[in-house]
Amino acid sequence: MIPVARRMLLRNRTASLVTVAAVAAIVGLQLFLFAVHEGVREGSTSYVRNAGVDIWIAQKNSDNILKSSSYLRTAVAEDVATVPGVAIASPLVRVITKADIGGRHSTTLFLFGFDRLGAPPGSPVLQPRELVLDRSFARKYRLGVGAHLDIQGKRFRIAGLSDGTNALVSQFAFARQEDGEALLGLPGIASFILVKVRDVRERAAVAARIRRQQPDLAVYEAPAFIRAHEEEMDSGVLPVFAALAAFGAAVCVLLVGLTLYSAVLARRQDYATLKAIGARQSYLLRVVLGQALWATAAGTILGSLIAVGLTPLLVRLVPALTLRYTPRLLAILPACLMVGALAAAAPVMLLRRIDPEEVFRT
Amino acid sequence: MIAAEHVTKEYPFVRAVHDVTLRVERGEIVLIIGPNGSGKTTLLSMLAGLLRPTRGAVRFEGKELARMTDRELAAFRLRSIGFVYQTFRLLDALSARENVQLVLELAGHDDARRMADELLERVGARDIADRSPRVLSGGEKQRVAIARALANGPAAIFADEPTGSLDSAAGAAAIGLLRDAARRDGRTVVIVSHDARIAPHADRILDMADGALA
Repeated sequence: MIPVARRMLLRNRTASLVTVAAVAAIVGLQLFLFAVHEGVREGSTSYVRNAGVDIWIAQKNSDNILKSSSYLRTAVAEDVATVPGVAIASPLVRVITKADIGGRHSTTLFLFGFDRLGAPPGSPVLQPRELVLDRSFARKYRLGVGAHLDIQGKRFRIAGLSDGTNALVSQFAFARQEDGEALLGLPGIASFILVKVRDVRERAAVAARIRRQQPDLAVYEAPAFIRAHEEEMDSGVLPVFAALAAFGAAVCVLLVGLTLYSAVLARRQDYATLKAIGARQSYLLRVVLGQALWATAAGTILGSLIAVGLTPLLVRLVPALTLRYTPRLLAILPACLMVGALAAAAPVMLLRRIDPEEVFRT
Repeated sequence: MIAAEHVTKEYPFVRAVHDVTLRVERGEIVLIIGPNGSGKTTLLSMLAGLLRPTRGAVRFEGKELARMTDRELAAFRLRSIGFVYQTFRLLDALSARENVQLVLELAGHDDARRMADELLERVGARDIADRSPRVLSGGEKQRVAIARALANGPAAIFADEPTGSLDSAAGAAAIGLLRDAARRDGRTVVIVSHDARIAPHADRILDMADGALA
């Protein structure tokens, strides 16, 4: 079969190229935004996911380490440690604080003071006034292991760098629990109690026992705590990105639709000729729909290549940026095809109004 | 074979064709002449099933075209009618061959490409099969257009000023091909034209004025 749709699209070369480029720009931007979201989602949950904690205990109504306050007595850890099935119970202090970098920069850090549990993966054994710093934060400020930064007038030495601890607007740092407590300024107070159970198969039963012992606190098994973080990230960021995506899709529909509408209008005589020689309406609809799908598919592929191709440059220019291209992003493909189909609506309506008798009009 | 019975076509404020009755037999070449605005092309459109008359009926081999649905009319035009236009109406997004091949593909022929080549061979356009209509001369375009009109073996060919954009030699070649279609293949040919050179080839000449046959 002759690829009539593609030929007619390419016949209108300049307009088609501009349309494909514009669709590519929009698709590239949307992919970038969703890759940022995926990166932030991973960066925000990676620590919780990989801290080796089975049960998280927090103040009531506090279900995440990012966007809720939680204050507990450190002594709760000692009580929880007596619950049958608990192997380790250890406090974690969270401090949101400014860090001063060589007097040149002052920036916010999420600092976690941990004791026996809660060290980021690969962390060295920390000495007092030492910390593990998020790698992208360190790259942004050109800091390495052995460098120093000042927090609340106290000088900390960087003893290690961590990955997956970048939540875009805030990066994590980890220090000893007593350093964290000192920075918090509330002796005997922790933010969370972290629990390691003896047998992970008994996790639910141990959590139930802790709830009975500590009825005024919130007790989460690790999967529920991780899910709460993901939902927190999604509820905060996804609606904004979804609105941007919807806006971008609408622009794509208008753009492709306008181009095709103009193309059908400009080649009205060709369509009238096709009708006159006996092409069915359904065939002509397929030709126009085919052009819409070709334009959006080409734009989507080009946009995806641009987005992925530019990633190393973007990460280099903005070190705090973490981009993740996950299989979930493939959802953009059917979405783009739907955009193409929608874009064909206006030209199809015009096509239906073309009379085959127009072939005799000059 | 083609019969128009008291056919009238009216538009708001204009009566383009008024009470025309005629009959065209199989294999006949009919030339319709008349001044601009006399209703020739409107009559041709109704005879070819492109336009529905306001009153009266057009029958093609006994079937009344106005009773057909749009879908049936499209199928009828695809299989029974060929068109030749003054401005050729070739799709310049396709090659010469593809313009012919497309009509054959629409009719469901599996070997449309080979059939298109045979038709181009017949009209003397085989050597330009791969070229775009944009680079063809008027005469070459009209040959390709006639090959397209002959695809699917139509019972009738309707030609609107087929020599209007051609020089003498190309015009004579186009007329020769249409005459062959009638004499050799038994196809009915209805031509609307101002060109006096066509008259000697016609079996019948109908003169139109003010929407009616004189």
